[in-house]
Amino acid sequence: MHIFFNKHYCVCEKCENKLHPLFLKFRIGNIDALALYKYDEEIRTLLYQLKGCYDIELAEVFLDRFKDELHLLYHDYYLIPAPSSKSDDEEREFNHVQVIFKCLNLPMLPIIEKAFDYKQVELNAKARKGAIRSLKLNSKKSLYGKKILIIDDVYTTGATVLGMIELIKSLRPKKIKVLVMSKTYLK
Amino acid sequence: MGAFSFICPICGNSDENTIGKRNGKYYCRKCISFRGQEAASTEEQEKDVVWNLNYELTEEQARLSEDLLSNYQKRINSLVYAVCGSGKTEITLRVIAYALSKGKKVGFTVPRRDVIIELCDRFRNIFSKNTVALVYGGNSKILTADLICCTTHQLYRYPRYFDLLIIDEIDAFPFQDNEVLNTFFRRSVKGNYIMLSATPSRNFIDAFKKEGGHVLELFSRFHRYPLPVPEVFVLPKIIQKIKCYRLIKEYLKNGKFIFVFTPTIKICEELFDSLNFFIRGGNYVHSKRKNRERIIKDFKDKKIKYLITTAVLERGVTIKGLQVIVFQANHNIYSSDSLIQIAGRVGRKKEEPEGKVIFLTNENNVEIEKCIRTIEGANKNLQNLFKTHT
Repeated sequence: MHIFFNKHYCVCEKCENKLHPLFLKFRIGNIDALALYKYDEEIRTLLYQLKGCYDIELAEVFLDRFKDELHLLYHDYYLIPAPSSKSDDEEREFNHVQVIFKCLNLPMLPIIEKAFDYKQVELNAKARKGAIRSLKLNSKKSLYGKKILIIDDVYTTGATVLGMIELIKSLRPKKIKVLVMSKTYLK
Repeated sequence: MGAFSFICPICGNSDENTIGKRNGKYYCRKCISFRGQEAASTEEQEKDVVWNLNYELTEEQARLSEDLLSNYQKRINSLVYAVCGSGKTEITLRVIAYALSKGKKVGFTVPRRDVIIELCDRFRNIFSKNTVALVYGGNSKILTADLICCTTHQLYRYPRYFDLLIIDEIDAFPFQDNEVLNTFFRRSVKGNYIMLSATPSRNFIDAFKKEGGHVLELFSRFHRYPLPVPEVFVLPKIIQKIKCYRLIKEYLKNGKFIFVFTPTIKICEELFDSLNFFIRGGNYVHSKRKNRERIIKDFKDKKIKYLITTAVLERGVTIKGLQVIVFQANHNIYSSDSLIQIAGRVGRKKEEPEGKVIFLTNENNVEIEKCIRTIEGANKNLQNLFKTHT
């Protein structure tokens, strides 16, 4: 993993082969969504090192290969990152979703936050649906005429993204799309 | 990044490639996964120590444990060179008991999690009046006790802590060649350490001697037979099955017991289906098979004649008169390490020290060659040591 550090070539060939990009297209209601990876063991360990061990240098690893393409694909979109708990962000001194998608070079609007802290991992699908009610907007500024891209690191039940879509729809944007870094694979 | 001088305060790393920058501050990426609560220091107290073993130590073991004790009293580090399963743990008991009774902090550490769990149980039985803490990833609530059993990864919790630290299986995978773990090991020793190993390299022994350590060898219980060198048969897949069948027939005639290692669960079941048609009385195990323990016990009780298995039985099985066949040894799940471990299943008992290891493979690959080279090297090393010793 040390070779992640080569500035010209962020991920070496050997490590690159460990990641398996999927480019899975799926729909959430009537909204187009795209997942880049399957949430497998490799992604899990990398994400853990980034989120749990605060290893910010790993942030570029996930999107480095596709950042130019993704930039073109979503060139007129505004990014809205999924919220994470404030206390975690303060402790690790960065927001992992924001740093992962920073390399797309698109304007970021972190307008959604959690009203109170909870850990999604500890909840089951039903409880997650309840917990999304705690999401709230921190600005009522209209998104009228803007194209919005919702971004998240892991898509499991879709509860967060659905909750975000509901909130963002009330601000009347022109279009909403979803881009997630990885998606758990449910049989 | 330019010239800078950042040295990790935890692991001493100063390699530019493994140092990251977060909000303008440098941080070490090498030891980043080793963060957590450190053990609180406790005061030295003399304690009563009772240790009870159900069996007597052999003469040589007793001699070695005396040596270890006197080395510790003289503040000399020791390296015990003994083959796996020859009773290395027992000879450390005496020095552990001595250090505990003086109220020193004693630790026992192994790179493998399941090994330390098993060892900890043994220590709890032996030192029944003292507290024994078991620390490994995911089990780190209690950090201090009279005797601390931990994996080498958890040593980061104990900087300059142990008066006596015993490390087993230094040649096992995660510890060897891992600078971070080695630094943690050195960092956590305040007094002296004892290393236990089955196959230390010549270089390692020399380096250890240079540092002023004392090397102790334990050969007596082990039968002094060399490790079996695997025989390789390069065959197409279908013929491998036929060869496998013939070998099993031949071994069964001689009353031997057979392990057939297969790379995957699917291949394991397939091979069993086709072999079971011709030779009855076998069975198969893999990680998903229910009643695995019972089948292995049946095999040990000789109710089952041959066993087809995946890598689940790669480590920690000792059966008398065992022969091993590795089916599709060129499969990419086999590394040279695991092949050596598989070969090491053979001839672990004194009564039947010899056995055959056969690799059936489509092609000779690097891992197989490396495995054979390593075993041959180890045998040579062993023979040389016998010569210098006797």
